[in-house]
Amino acid sequence: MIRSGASRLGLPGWLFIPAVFGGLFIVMPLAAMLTRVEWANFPALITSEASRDALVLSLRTSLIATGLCFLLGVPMAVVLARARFRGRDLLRALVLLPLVLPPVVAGIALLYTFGRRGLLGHSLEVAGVQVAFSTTAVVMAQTFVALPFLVISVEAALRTVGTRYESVAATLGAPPTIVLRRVTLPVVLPALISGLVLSFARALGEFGATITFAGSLQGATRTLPLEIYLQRETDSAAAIALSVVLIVVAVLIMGLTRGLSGRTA
Amino acid sequence: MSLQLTAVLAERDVDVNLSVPTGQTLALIGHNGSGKSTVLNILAGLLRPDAGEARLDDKELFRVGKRGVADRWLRPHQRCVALLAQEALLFPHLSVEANVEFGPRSRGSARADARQLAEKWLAAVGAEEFIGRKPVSLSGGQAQRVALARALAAEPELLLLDEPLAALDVDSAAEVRQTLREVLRGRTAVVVTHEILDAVLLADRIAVIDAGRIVEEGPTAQVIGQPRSAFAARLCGLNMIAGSATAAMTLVDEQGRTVTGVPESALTPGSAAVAVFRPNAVTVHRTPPTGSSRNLFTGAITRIEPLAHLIRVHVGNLSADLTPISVAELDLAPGINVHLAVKAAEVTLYPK
Repeated sequence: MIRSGASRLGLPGWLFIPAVFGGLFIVMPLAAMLTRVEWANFPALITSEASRDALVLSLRTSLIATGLCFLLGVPMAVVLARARFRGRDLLRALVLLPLVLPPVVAGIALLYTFGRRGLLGHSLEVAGVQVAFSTTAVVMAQTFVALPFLVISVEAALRTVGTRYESVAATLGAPPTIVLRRVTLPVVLPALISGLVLSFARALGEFGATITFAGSLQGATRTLPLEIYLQRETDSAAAIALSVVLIVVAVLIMGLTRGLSGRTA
Repeated sequence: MSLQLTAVLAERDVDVNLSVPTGQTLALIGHNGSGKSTVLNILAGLLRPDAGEARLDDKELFRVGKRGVADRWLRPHQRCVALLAQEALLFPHLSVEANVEFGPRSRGSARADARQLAEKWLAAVGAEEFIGRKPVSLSGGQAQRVALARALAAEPELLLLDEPLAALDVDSAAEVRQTLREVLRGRTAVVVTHEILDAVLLADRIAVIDAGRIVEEGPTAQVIGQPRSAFAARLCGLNMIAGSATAAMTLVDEQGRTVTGVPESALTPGSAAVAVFRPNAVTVHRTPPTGSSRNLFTGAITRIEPLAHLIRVHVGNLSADLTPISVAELDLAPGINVHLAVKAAEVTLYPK
């Protein structure tokens, strides 16, 4: 990090022009939206029953999805970074596919796997479990799109750190599980935290896969982004107010990560 | 604990066979890429050889058969073999104390016992004052002491040291070397180094490894005093010419150079032999010198380098130590043809 007092590299002056345009491009729409907020009605708008349902549902499902990302994504990252097996590169590419897949396509893929006529859905239905168009489907859609963020972040950190600390731990007598818990994961903790935050943010903003696979049922599957999209047509003031809520949540998360990784780094 | 190792690893062109008697330290010396670290990694269980076996007293560390099938393979954490590398590699997220307690805690020691061990070994390496610190706040030498305490606290039966002083500055290297000298006494250990001082001060025995093969092995004093390989000779700062004996007191090398000297034991004509002499016994001349008892070698100066108060002049694989004033008087520079002379009485001949 360059601190004040440290020498600075000279930058070409023209570089500032596109940089400033880029910054404006991101900041201006947010500012424009804020000018349209009806602050007088704001509390009422965000505490209507539909809004509260959507907010609570979004936070609940995103947290569960983030937990699933941790439980599934950390083992995936460790296996991809450390285990040696044939087809690992192909597997890595496949696992990261949801990053580039349009979310609506992800939703359709999930529907034809876990939906009523899906690959596994039929067996599940026979067993008395119906996944599609339920809160479970919301969590699954969010996990599907958010998982690669955690995997890519943790795996990259593991590759950068290398296996040297783990080798030392093993020669000191630590069996593999202890090495994983006391060395491997703590060493990449900053990357793990930022991966979790990215996953949570991605889950919170998830729209396409959710509406395709889970539908839009108030209190059960209609998350905040869905609610905003629906309100936009009938009550734009409510849509803007809820958007502000999402922005605030996003800013809070960013602040929280800064604080956490600042302490561990 | 005595160590026996034979290992072949084709991928790195390593084929070694070495042993360390109980309580002794073996210095493994060789060029970069000669296979030194590979040997340590095989012993630590971080690399699997194609064939070979290793045992610590009765405990078999591994046995890999001819077809590369491991009949027995202890994983690194099951071996009681600790490895100290060039870098300290202290776990950055743990305090110094927790780093040193890591070994005992991993094997299930109670917190209090682990703490006691940590205090004991930190004191033994002179690092007790760092106990509450974080690794990032330590200098290289301090961190290496803590890493040493951490390795010792794991109570290893075999200690492996991979160039433990190479990354330190001169002063801290000297201090840590002294500490190592104390803690290695009576301990079975293998230390990889390319520093003659480390071998002399730390090791009971020296094994010289070249291109993945042990080319020379023996007690430290013997290997240093009578090196039989070019690398060992250069490491000890000696000149060495290898060839075959033509008489009891002479040998001739591949370039046809004849060397006469004092044999350690009479040479058998036709058998392999080496001639060893010190660079400070060599005189340098611009014109061929006269004198019957002298060996003469002619060649162009390849390199000139400072050496303490002297200047070392290299001519091919031979070197001569001169005073700065002689170098100035002779007006020596790389590329100039010179004649090197050494009295036969200064040359020792060994059968190889």
